[in-house]
Amino acid sequence: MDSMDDGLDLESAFEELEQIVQVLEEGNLSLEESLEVFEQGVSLVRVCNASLDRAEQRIECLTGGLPSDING
Amino acid sequence: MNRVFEVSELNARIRDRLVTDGRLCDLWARGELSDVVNHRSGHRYFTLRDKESRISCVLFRNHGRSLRFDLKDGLNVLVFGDLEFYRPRGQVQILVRAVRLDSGIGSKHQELEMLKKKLAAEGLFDQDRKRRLPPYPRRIGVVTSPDGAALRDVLRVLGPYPAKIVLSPAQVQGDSASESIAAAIRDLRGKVDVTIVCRGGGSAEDLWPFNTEMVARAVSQSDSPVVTAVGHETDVTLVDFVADERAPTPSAAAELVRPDLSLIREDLIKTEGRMARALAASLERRQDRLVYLEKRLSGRMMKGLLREQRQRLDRASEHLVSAMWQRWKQLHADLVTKEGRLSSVSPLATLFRGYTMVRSEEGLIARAADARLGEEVEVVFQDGKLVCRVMAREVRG
Repeated sequence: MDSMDDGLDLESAFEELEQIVQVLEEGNLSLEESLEVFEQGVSLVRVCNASLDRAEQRIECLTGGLPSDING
Repeated sequence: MNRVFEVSELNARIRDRLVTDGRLCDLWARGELSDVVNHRSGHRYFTLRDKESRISCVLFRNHGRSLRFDLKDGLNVLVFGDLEFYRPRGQVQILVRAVRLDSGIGSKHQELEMLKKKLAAEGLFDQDRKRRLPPYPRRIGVVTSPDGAALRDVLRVLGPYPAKIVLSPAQVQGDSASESIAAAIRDLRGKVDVTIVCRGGGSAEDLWPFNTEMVARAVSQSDSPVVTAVGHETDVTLVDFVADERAPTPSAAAELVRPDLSLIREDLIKTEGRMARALAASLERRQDRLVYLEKRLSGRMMKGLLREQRQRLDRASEHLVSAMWQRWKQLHADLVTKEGRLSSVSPLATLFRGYTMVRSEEGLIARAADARLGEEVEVVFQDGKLVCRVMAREVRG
């Protein structure tokens, strides 16, 4: 399945974020690892926000044509 | 001036006109029963109606005996009889001679009840079959008519939520609507995370395709959770029982499916905050530890360490010297003892005690027999020697 076509998988993005936060909160990582994980998290948040910002309705019709008043 | 009728005269005239109209005798009329009254006399009075009109009916006892079901409000029936004008009240009514369940929607209701029981017995309506709607669907399927208002309502509510909307068009009205809806639901298999099956308002007959087993089974077999919204809030169809969620309207269905964007954004901000706090806390912990270690690593402590090491070195070297001295003394004492033992076994020591030793050119003469007559021998003393000649020899034994 084409993930670009289907948009960002918010659910797995949130799951990943939750894991990152938990790992950070446990505080067992080295400083370098913490920073690395933190950066991952921040960029994930950024990607999510960006995806919400530029989200537009994308409609596909299984049988082809959409009525003219609907923009696919 | 036109003629003035007495009321009874007028009603008589109306009746005359009606009863002479052959088309109003032995007629069939279709409608829904309401205001059914089973009178003590055995006669039954009721109203037959459709969406726009109503007409009073009476079924006299003698004709009612052959009836094989109870007349109830809401039943759709066909009645057979004659139109009559009841003069005392100036009222038109049907004198009913026979009533049949309408092969259309009336018997359909009974079939529906049976179907409901059957599907319920199969467990299709069980609460534990209901699936949770995905919190963040990426692909939202919509089964409805592409031309209906329902689709537009759904699209408007879904708005700019970042998901792909897959429209699976269905014919939601008419003879083949059930097949079309069921097929449209099946077509979404594997393509979406959640499915909305919806239709705008309409008459009970318009919504009927959503009451069929075919559509109910298609919903129950859908691989994605299904939200149904058929008709208005008060309309309940069979698919609503099978669906994982039932919404009162198509818009409400879309609301159920779409996560609240502002909540998502709030979540993101919260998550970011938690990460930053966790990182800050971990930095702080490290800083505290650093400060602590720094304190312990002070210069005074380093000097103390150095002094201690030096003392250890001194002690070690002292130990080394004394050990060497001990060893030397021991070796020296050994040497003196060995020297004494050596001298005690030396033949020279015997000479000091007054003994002498006799030697010839061939060596030590230890026995008289070894000495030859006339031979020159040396007699060794502790302080020198005498040279003697063997003058005589006496050997014992």
